[in-house]
Amino acid sequence: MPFRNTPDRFGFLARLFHWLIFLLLIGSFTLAWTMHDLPLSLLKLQMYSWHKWVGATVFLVVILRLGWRLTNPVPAAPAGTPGWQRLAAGLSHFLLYAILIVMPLTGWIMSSMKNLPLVYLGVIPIPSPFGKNEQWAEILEEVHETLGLLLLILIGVHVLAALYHHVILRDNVLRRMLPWPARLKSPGTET
Amino acid sequence: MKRGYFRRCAMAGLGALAIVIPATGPAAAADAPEWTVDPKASFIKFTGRQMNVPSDGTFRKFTARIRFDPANLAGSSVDVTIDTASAHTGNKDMDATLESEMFFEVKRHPTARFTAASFRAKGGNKFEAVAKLTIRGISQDLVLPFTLDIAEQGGQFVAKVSGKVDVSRTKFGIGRGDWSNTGVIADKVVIDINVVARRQK
Ligand code: HEM
Ligand code: HEM
Repeated sequence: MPFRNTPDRFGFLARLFHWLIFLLLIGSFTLAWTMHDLPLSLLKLQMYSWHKWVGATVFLVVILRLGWRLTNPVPAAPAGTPGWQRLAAGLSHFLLYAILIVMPLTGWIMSSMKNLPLVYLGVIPIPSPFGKNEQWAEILEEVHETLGLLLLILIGVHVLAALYHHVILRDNVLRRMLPWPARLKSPGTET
Repeated sequence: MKRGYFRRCAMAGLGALAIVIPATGPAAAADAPEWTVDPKASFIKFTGRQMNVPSDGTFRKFTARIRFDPANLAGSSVDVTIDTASAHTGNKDMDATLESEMFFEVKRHPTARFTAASFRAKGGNKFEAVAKLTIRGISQDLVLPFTLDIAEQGGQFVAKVSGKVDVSRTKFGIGRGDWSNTGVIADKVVIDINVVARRQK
């Protein structure tokens, strides 16, 4: 099981990062939607903290993931992929990464503005330099929520594209990103 | 006759003294001079923690009657009345929760009160106030260490007082029901006092 990417598949670490973030985002969204509808209570405050910890972890993992990506070959699109699809894939991956970085940042800054600064895992205080500000907190909350919506839409398109490759094109694109080491089809075995 | 007169006078004098002494009492010290608080430069801040996340706020309205003289601690006294509804955290949900019956219950307990009539000099600009704090009708004794710096400015004395003390919120019944859970919301609340007061020379 190669750690690093090869020209035709993602290595173990790249796949681990991808699916770890997938799981973290399920946690983050579940907490976000649940806490939003709760009246201010102990449970709500706890969920806020958990949501922030999960989100901050996403940020950390994305940074590590991008660092790893820089030092690895990125598997190429299957031969014959039309240019617009390569462009769409590149653009959507870029946007996914960008949102995964910007969302935690807006959440972090907003939290300090709401007088509930991030204390990572309840241990490491990470106050933002901007301090309290109710008006700006509301604007950032809108930004944070809108980015969340955008992220969900992108993930939807992303999953559809993956399924399109797997079910319609029957190529290796999904296989090479699966969390377990899936056997790749060798070129020419497609029917 | 003369002796009798003198004796009667002496007795009357002693008698008068005997009446006068208990009337003035042992606190013969004169009241220390009164100071006027500058509300703009003064604040009472509190910092609580939930899940180790610090959230702070200030009481925007309070009145204080301060008589203080470092050279006349026996005649010094402080009496501060705090408007509990003026607690401001910069977070509307939090402010509303603090006002509610779960916390300050401002409808029933519109004020909190801090009184101190006994002070100790701790050397230099350091002092301690032996005080009583009353919140939600519950009084607790506490010792507030503070520093005091007096300067002269434009024909006035300007005093800067700053002190910090930890209190246990649950002892005052702050945070009821679920909110009494000190595992999530720390029992300890830090109170940070910064007062600027003036008086004519
Ligand atoms: C990629 C990571 C993150 C995702 C996907 C995410 C997602 C969301 C979503 C969807 C909501 C909106 C819930 C709603 O009102 O419908 C939300 C709310 C919130 N998020 Fe995040 N978030 C992330 C990271 C963070 C981080 C790192 C922090 C803080 C350090 C944070 C702080 C908040 C706060 C405070 C709210 C609640 C706003 C409010 O209603 O008062 N988020 N998040
Ligand atoms: C939480 C949601 C997800 C996010 C944020 C996400 C994000 C990403 C990103 C940024 C990449 C680009 C990798 C790179 O080139 O560095 C990627 C690749 C990929 N993702 Fe996801 N993904 C998510 C969920 C999924 C799911 C559910 C599937 C499967 C149905 C999937 C299938 C793939 C595949 C097959 C690739 C490889 C694309 C290629 O070979 O170029 N992803 N994902």
